Amino acid sequence: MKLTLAAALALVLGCTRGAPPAPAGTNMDSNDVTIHEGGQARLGGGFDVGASNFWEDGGQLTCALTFSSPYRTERVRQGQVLEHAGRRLEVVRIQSAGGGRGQVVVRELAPPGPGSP
Amino acid sequence: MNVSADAGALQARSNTAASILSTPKGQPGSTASTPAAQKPAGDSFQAETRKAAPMALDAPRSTGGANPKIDPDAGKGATYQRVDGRPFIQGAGDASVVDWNDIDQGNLADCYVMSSLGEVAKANPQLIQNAIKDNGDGTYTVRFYERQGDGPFGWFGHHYDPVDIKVTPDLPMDGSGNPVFAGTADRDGAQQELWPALMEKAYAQWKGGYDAINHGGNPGDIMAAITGQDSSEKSGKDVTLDQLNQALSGGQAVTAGTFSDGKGKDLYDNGKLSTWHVYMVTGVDTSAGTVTLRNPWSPNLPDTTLSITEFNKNISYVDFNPTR
Repeated sequence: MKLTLAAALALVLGCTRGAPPAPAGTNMDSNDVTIHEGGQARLGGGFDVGASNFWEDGGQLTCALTFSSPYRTERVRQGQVLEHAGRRLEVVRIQSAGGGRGQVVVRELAPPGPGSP
Repeated sequence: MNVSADAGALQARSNTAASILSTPKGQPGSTASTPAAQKPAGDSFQAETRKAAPMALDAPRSTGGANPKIDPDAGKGATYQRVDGRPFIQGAGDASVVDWNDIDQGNLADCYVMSSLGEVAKANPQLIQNAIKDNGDGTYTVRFYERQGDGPFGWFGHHYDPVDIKVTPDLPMDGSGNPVFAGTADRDGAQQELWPALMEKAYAQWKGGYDAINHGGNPGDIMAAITGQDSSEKSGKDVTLDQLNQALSGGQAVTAGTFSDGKGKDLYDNGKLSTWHVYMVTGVDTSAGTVTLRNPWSPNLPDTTLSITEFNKNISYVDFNPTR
């Protein structure tokens, strides 16, 4: 009985100490880039994206992405796809990074080809 | 995101203080300190102590040589690569070889470091030039200052001891050969300007890695570490246009930190200001009653001009450093 309880306790502890699963529909891709609140990602070719202003809006965590060239700032949600300066960016996930800060995971998509909608 | 700005600032300050206090002396593998009298001729550094020292001091503490750990998130996929460059290159629009136009933050969330570097560069560019010594062997030694001597209740005052950190021009780069952290703003042919990246790397090395400086901090502490002079801090709501004008015209470095929660504040809602961010204060127009801020993310971003009323309402804290 004691052994069973110990095993159950170990199982519970093991589970709770593991990394939380990624939300459904947000599988990580090797090209995903994490931007911390107050930080910026250089995605190459002068395509720089800053992340800030994380807060809940409509029951969902949102944030602002800022592009430097040309300048543009836009509030975004998880799953949103933006086009800017001929590049496409998907907002994969917006989440808390602990300590009251947020982080956003973005993924650059292939640019829209000719004839695509 | 409901942590108050004050709590965030205090946490950042606490973290920085803790990291300074926990920095071990004589780390394994560190370069041995060289007594000042035995330093080689031509050494631009001097054994010095900023502020009155209560006791005799040794020569600058030296450390470095190894590349600091790259933050696994912010530097995902980055590897160290040698960059062809030199510390200072005067680019178009630069007032001198060291200029705040050179600040380009990159992937690391260290706006408090980059804005502090930019402000000191604006206020006292020679100080930045003096802080980086070319060792002539492909390495550089970067000088920071470490606050020492704080006794109980501050009874015995404090001073700043120099800390010399040896770094190589190997920088964390992406697969395309671009730096992922502090950028190399100006170029002269194939040569890239290195000073912001070298100072960021040296600071990361001092504090235990790029990951150790990736989660915010207090710009007042960083400016003190760059200049060896005490910083002071005021609440944003209490700062006047005259105070900012006098500070800037008097050669001080001035940074402005934003709130951690901007929801419901117009300038955050419309993206004009970013939460939990540190800006460089680049100018004051007393006749128009405005303050101009620069975002360390990129010199290509437009500056943000606020009325002093907007500044008081939307800026959480302002740090000042005399720089000289």
